[in-house]
Order: sequence, then structure tokens, then C-alpha cells
Amino acid sequence: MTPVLRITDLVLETGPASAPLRPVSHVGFEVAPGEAFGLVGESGSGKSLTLRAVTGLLPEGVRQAGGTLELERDGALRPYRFAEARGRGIGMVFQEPMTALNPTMRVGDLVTAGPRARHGWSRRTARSRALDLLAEVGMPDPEGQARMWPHQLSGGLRQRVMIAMALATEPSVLLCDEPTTALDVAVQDQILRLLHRIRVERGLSIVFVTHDLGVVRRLCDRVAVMYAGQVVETGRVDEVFTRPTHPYSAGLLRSMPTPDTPRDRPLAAIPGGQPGAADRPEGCRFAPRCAHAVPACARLAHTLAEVPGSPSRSACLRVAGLGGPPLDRRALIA
Amino acid sequence: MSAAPLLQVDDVVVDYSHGRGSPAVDHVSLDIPRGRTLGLVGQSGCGKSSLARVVAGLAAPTSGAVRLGGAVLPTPRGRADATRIQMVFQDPSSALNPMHTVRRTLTELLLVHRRAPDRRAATDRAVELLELVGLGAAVLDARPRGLSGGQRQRVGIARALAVEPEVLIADEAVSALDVSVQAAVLNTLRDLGARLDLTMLFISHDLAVTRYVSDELAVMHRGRIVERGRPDDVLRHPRHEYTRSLVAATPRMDGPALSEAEEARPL
Repeated sequence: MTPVLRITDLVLETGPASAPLRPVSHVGFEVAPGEAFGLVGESGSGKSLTLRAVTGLLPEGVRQAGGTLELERDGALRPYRFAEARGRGIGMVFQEPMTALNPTMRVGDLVTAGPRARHGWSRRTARSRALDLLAEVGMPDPEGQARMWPHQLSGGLRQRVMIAMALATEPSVLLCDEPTTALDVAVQDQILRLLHRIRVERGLSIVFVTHDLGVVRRLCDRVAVMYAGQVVETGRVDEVFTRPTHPYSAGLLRSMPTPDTPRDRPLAAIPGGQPGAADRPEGCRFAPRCAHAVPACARLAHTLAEVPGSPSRSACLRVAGLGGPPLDRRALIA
Repeated sequence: MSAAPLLQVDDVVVDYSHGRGSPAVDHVSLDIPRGRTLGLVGQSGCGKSSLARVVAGLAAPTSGAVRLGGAVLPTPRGRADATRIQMVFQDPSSALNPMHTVRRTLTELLLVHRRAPDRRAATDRAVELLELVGLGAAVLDARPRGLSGGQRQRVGIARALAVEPEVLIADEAVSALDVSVQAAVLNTLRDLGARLDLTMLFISHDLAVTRYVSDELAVMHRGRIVERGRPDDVLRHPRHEYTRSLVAATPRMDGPALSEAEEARPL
């Protein structure tokens, strides 16, 4: 089946062209119709910049220096213009709804402002579409809340309004940047279930950027784990989260306390920190923090390779058998 | 908990509404024995930070009292009591002067509070403190901006420990950190609690994190403590309805994905 979205070899640069920094280097993934795809990483991994590049909303000073971005249209993948994609094809949901919702518009007008201008809808059409969308995202009182201002709504309801706005353009992919991070855990759970239901009912694809592994585990089918501007592992969520094939993914999983983590021993922290774009080591960027690193890691050319006996793809040369003494992926979570 | 409590929160009320609404902290009583860690978990707005500020002496309660070793601590704290309870904040930058090096931050504190006789002794003690929190002399001349988030928070912990407090309050102290860094800071906090016989009030919205560091868990909801008990008992057999919803909403790596779970639950 043709993917709905494909990113190939995306390179993002900042700083002077003569000596650029690359916060994102050669990132690629594709999203199937109806699939929920997680892009997970810690702050500074490049996950949010990658998502912004897809929508053409890169912050000032960051430029795309390579790679292709394609959306499906009429059964084939084609490069797209951002303005066109934002009006249809791509919907966006951000972390902080208050900064993304125009505070001077009532909720009902906000939801359909974009498509109304685009399609020349009458006030009546726009209003009835807005009420349908507000009901679809589970607003308890669509009529009443359509008349409210954004600041009168709780964080969870604002996030629902943002989802309704994104759906108003009838997108095929919904891009979500940490949409539940600022919410309390119970509200977060409601929004995740809402996104899941919308996805199933509309056959919509979702790209979900987050630092929260638990959220990815709950919502997504496939995941790409990012570290220092690169994807280090990608595969099905059930595989990556139970049988990781990269020492970084394994380390992340082990360092996260869960309700069942033994309390009588230290958490399995990863020593050190993620290098910034200015001080990334040659070869594998995780090697300086990795308990399994060998000298060959410093010469690794980044690539995502098949892993023997696993459906996931990994950038670890030892696990993928690309060099150095082979490392059984089972040793990563032992 | 059988030992006599070191810290007692005695029927504290914090009411910002002048009686017109429900108080932010609504008749809360807690106690922590010496050397133990009480975890206080609740969502934003539940009153946990208001309570922390009262315990730290940064705000006066509307009514009620904070006792340390049995004696009521006045607010504002007098000179003798000012250092006995220290706080580690969520955003370490807000607790560190951005213009000062780590050396200056720590040595001035040590000298002002007479924890060191002179500048040389203060520097030696600063290095000790930095080593205690998993850093070293290498960061002495760094300013907060030159440190990573995890390092900054460790300096924040060293700053709090410099005055040798009896009680440490950690208010969302690891919430802004990345998972892999958070784990190391949690290990440090736990380790310090044991080594220094520190009494800790660990406040967080994250149930799994709080459970991990705490000897006892209290759940706060709408200004009240709705449940209190041994961490694993609270997680396995939550009694209060709010705690049950909190436990159910906490993602588990081995829990069901949404596609497998009940989808029909009301939104």
C-alpha cells in the first residue's frame, strides 16, 4: 500500500552555511494509511524539528539542507507545497493549545475558519460543521462551547478544540507534537483515547512526537527512536519496547521507573547526557555513553540495518552485525 | 510509621479565596519520621506546591502549623530556623543566579551561613558537595547556562544541601529532566537520603517516579490528602476513587495498547 507520508534523508541545518550545525541529519520514515507512528526521543534529539520540517514551520534560522518530503495524492507519493498541504492533507496539533488558538475568536468560528475561507462556506454551513466537529472531539456541550473564548476552556478542552481545527481540513495525516505533555495524567488518557478513536473512525494516520515512552506504547503501531539528530532504531512498538535492538532504546526503557520497578536497587540510568548539535562525536553518537561500545563504533557510518532474528531496524553496528564483535540484542535488556 | 515524626504538618489551610471558594490546601496533616521520604502525588492545581511553600517557610498558612522536632516553625522563619528546611525546585535556573559561577553560588552560601570559616575551606566544602551530588570540581567555574539540565539540577541539590538542612523538599525536582537523566538524579536523591539520613518530602505528578523514591505515599486531590499508605499498597489496592483513576491512567510499558484495550470507555 502506498504510504500517506514519506520523509527521506531529511537534513536540517542552522548557523553559517560555511560551518553549519545539523540538528537533524538524514532522518527518514514513512507512515502507512491509518497508522499511528511515534517519533520518540529526549529533548534535543531533533524529533520536534523533524515534525516542523514536515509542515514547513521551521523556526527562524533553521533550514532544510537536504531530503525529500512527500505526501500521497491520487495513489502516488509526490512532493508537496507547505501552504497547500496545511490546508488539506496535513493537520497539526501542538503542545500548548493556548498559543496556537487565536484568543480573539470564539471557539465555533476558530474551528472552521481555515476551511471556511478556503471553500467559501456560508456562515450557516461553517457553524453546522463546527458543531459536528466539536461533538466528534467529545466536547460535552458543543453549542455552548462554540460560543466561548479559548481562555474560558480547560487545557483538555482546548486541546480538543485544536484537534477539531485540525480535522476541519479533512487531513489524511494528523501531526501531533507532544499534545498531551502539558496535561494531567487523567486528561492525557482521555485525549489519547480520543485520538485513537478518531484514527479508527476516519482511517486517519497519526504522527505522534513525544518524549513519553508510555504514551507511544499506548497509542502507536510503529516507532522511530531518535538520538542526537538521527533515528537509531525503528520498528513495531511491541517489538521495540520489549526486544529493543539499540543500546539507547534499551537504556531509555530501563531508566524509566514504572509502577513495577524494584525499589531496592538503583534505576538503570544512562551515564552522561545527549550531545548538542555542536559537539557530536564521530561515528555512533551514542557510543560515548554506551556500555557495549567498541573502537569500531567511532568509525560507524550511520545506517539503519536489518537485525538478525528481529523485525526492527537498528543503527547499532554490533547488534546489526555490521562490525565489531556481534552483540545479541537480548543482552541489551538483561 | 512508628518512629517519632521529625516533620509535622498540622492541619494546614492555605486559602487564596478569602473564604469565597475552596481553599488550595484544605486542612492537611502529614508527618514524616526522621530519615524517611514521604511522596506527595497529585495533578497540577491540587495544592501540593502551595503546601510545599508553607512547609519551606516561603508562604504563611491561613491556619495550621508546621512543626520540626515538635516545635512550631514561625513564618517567616527566624535566623536559627531559616536553613532547617530546604527546597529543590523544578526549574533549577530559577534557584541559581545566572551570573554566578557554581563556585560563587556555593561558597557565598557556605560563608554567609557560617558553614565554612574562610574562602578556602568553603571551596573545599563546595567540591565535597558537588561530589556528593555526582558532579565534581570540574563544574566549579561553570555558570548555570553552561551546564546541562541534569547538572543544573544537581547543583540545585548541592545548593540546598550546603546549609545542612534536616528536611529536603523536592518539588517536581526531576519533572523537567529527560528520562535517562532523571533516573540518575533520582538515584542520587535516594542515595543522599540514606547517606545523610535526610528527611524528604518528594512532590510530583508522576506516580511511578514518586513510588520509586518514597517510603510512604500520600495522594493529594483538590487540596486534601485523599489516601496515604505504603507505596505498593496504594498502587495495587487504591482505595480512593481519585487514586484509582490516577493508577489507571498511568501508562505501563506492559499494559494494553489502545488498540487492544477497551475502546468503548466514555471519553
